[in-house]
Formats: sequence, structure tokens, C-alpha cells
Amino acid sequence: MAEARFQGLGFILITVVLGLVLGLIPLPMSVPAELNYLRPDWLGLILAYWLLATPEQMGVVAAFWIGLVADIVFGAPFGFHGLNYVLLAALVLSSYQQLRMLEIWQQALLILFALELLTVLQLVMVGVLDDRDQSWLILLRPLTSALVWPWVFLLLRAYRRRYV
Amino acid sequence: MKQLFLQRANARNQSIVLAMVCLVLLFTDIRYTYLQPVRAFAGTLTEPVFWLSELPSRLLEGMRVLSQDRSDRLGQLAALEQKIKVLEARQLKMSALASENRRLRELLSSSEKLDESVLIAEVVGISPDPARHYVMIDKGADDGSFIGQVVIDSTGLVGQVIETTTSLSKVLLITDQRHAVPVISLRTLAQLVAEGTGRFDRVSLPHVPESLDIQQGDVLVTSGLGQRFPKGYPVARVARYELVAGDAFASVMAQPLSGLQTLDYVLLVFDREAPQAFAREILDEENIDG
Repeated sequence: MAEARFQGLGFILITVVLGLVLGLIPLPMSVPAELNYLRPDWLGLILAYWLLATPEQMGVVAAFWIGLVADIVFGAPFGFHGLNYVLLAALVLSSYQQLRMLEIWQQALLILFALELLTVLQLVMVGVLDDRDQSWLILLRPLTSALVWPWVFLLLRAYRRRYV
Repeated sequence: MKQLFLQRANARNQSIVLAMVCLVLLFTDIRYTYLQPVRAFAGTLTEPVFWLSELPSRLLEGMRVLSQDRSDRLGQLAALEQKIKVLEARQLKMSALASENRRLRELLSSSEKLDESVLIAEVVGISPDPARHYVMIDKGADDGSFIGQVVIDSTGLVGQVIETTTSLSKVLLITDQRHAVPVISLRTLAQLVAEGTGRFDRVSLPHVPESLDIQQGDVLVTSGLGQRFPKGYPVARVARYELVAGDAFASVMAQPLSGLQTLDYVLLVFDREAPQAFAREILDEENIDG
């Protein structure tokens, strides 16, 4: 039993690394850098999936650590992704039983609302602490994230049924 | 069932505490530098992620090279060889000037050195966040790179190293909103500061008084003030000068001389007194152009 659980964690970890890599792959230098705002938050979606599917293995603490790793890898100040992911985890965990019952597109809609809310919070927090101008284009990211959610969900479910 | 509800209450408390921790971390990391060593250490641990993320572009590049026409590549090779010849000839002239300069400096009993030592580095990653302008290069602390080290390319100043892990460094570009570099205008020797704007093709020059002689096309080089950047590296060319009547300061924008959006190889500079001759050469070229 303990071994199976450990193995499951290994497979979850692989997808987390995949999320980090997907978030980091540089766009070709010839395209405008603003296109980066259209990149879905792969890591957040992967995290949301595992929170939904196996809440006993993926908790708030795991979300916190994944957020810190994301901060290092994406070059953001410590706590930037951490805050986002901790709150996302709290939201998903508070109602994962209801969320599982919903259609995928309904989930996508809720993901959109949740991520949009968290992005606004992030903008406000960083706006208070940092003197950098943040572009409002960052509000587009939850939109593309919600659009790819069904695919992430189906792919990860197939993956989980096979391995985890 | 009871267990489950307990778990849920725990999750809520945990998330509140962890969110607080994140806020404290955000505040600390943005305002202070205490967390720098943690970042360097953890960055070393996460290096494999960088190499993985770089794989697709490596593969694409490899495919492109493989599919390229042989005669094309021979042509490129010939062109490069010619370029090397030209550069070697120029280098010859430079070394003569350098030795002359050294003799003159000895006469003045000045101990400044003119030898420059650079390390070539490849850009292996760019910032995924358009609000932060930095690139990752494939040289780290093990190669001798250090925080604050100046990074240039063949056309001008690129930025400075702000983080090093064992085999990677993060280079803050001069166009980042958090970056500023003291510059001097080559034409009039006016002292200015070039601040990043968050756009790759613009740096802004704040607080330019009406009386200061600045015009479009002026080349700005590092002034050496502040001790961070050595004197004389080309930074930007003034692209727009606007003075609204009645305003105390003119709005001046300059375009960085190095193509910051298409960097492939950059140079890490190890000597702080090297680049003056380089700037003078640029100045000469300017005069010839003019």
C-alpha cells in the first residue's frame, strides 16, 4: 500500500515537472513577447487536476512547495506563484466533491472564474509591493487556461487510470 | 467520515497560514535581498528543468541545420572566413593602439589596464513573463560568473548578471523596468541615466532639462559612474526627443544598440577598464558617418 502511494507520487511529480517545462519553453524570438500572456498556466491546471482527482495525495502544502519551485523556475519573486496555488488548492479542496460531478465545460468555467480572481489578487498584491508596471494583458491567461482545461483534464485522467 | 471533515478544516487553516507565509515571502523578496542565497541554491537544483525546456528549440535548430543546403552552408562559411580576415586586420591595428596606450599610461604612471578578458556564453532561456526582461545564459558560478557582472554582445551593452547557479546565470536586460544605467552622450558628453521601460526597443532618459543638448541620433555609452558598468560600452541611440513647451523636462527615448530580442551569444566581461577604446572607435565611425 505504502509502495503504491509512493509510486503514485512519482507519476504526479512527472506531470508537475512537465508543467514547469511547458511554462518555460521559450517562444521563438521573432514573435512579440506579449504573446507570452496567452500561454496557459499549465502548472496551475495540472495542480488543479490532481487536487480534484487525488485530494489525499495533493494538498495545500504540496501546492505551496510547487508554487515556490515555480517562482524559482519562472524567475518571479518568492511567494508569487505560491500564493496563487495555495489559494487555488484551498478553493478546489473546499468543494472537490461537487466539482467532480460537473461537466468538463462547467469545470472550465469555474476554473476561469477562480484563476481570474486569483490573477486580480496577484496584480493587486504585486502592485502594492512592487514598482513594476504590470500589463492588464495578464488577465488573458486564465482565459486560455480555461480553454485548454478539458484537454488537460482528459489527458491526465487517462494517464492516471493507466499508471497512478 | 469524521476524519474527512477534520481534514477539510485542517486544509482551510493550512491554506490561511501558507498564504500568509507567501505574502511575507513576497514582501521580503521584492524589498530586500536576504533570499538571494536561497534562490541561487534552489536554482541549482532546478537547473534540469531549464535544460529540458530548451530541448525542443535545440531539436528544431538541429533539424534546420540538417535540412539546409550544402552549397548554402559553404557560402556562409566563405562569408564568415572573410569576416574573420577583416576583424583580424582590425585587431592588428587595435593591438598597436593598445600597446601605445599602455606606454602612454605608464608615462602618466596610471595603473589602469586595457586587456579585456571575456567569456562567450550562449543564451539558453528567455523570461516567460513579458513584464520581466531577463535571459538565462549557459555560464554559471563554476565558470567564474558573478552577480553584477557586465554582459555585452558585439553591438552593445546587454545587461548585468543578477543571479548565478552553478552552471547558469540570469542576466537582467537594460530594458527591464528595474534596470538603470548611467550613460554619457558621445557628442556632447552630457551625463544621463538610461532606464528600462519594459519594452525591448526602448529605454527612457528621465530628467533631461530643456537646456541640455540632446538630439535624435546621439549615441549613448556607459559613463562608468556608479562603478557597476565600466566606462565606454555603447548602450543606445536617441530615437525620439520631445519637448512640450512649458514642461521642465523633455521626454527622451533611445533605442538599445544591441538586439535584445534576438540575442544568441553574449560576452561576459571580466575586466572593468577595457572598453574605452571600443567606444572611441564607435565615435570615430560616427564622425565618418556624419
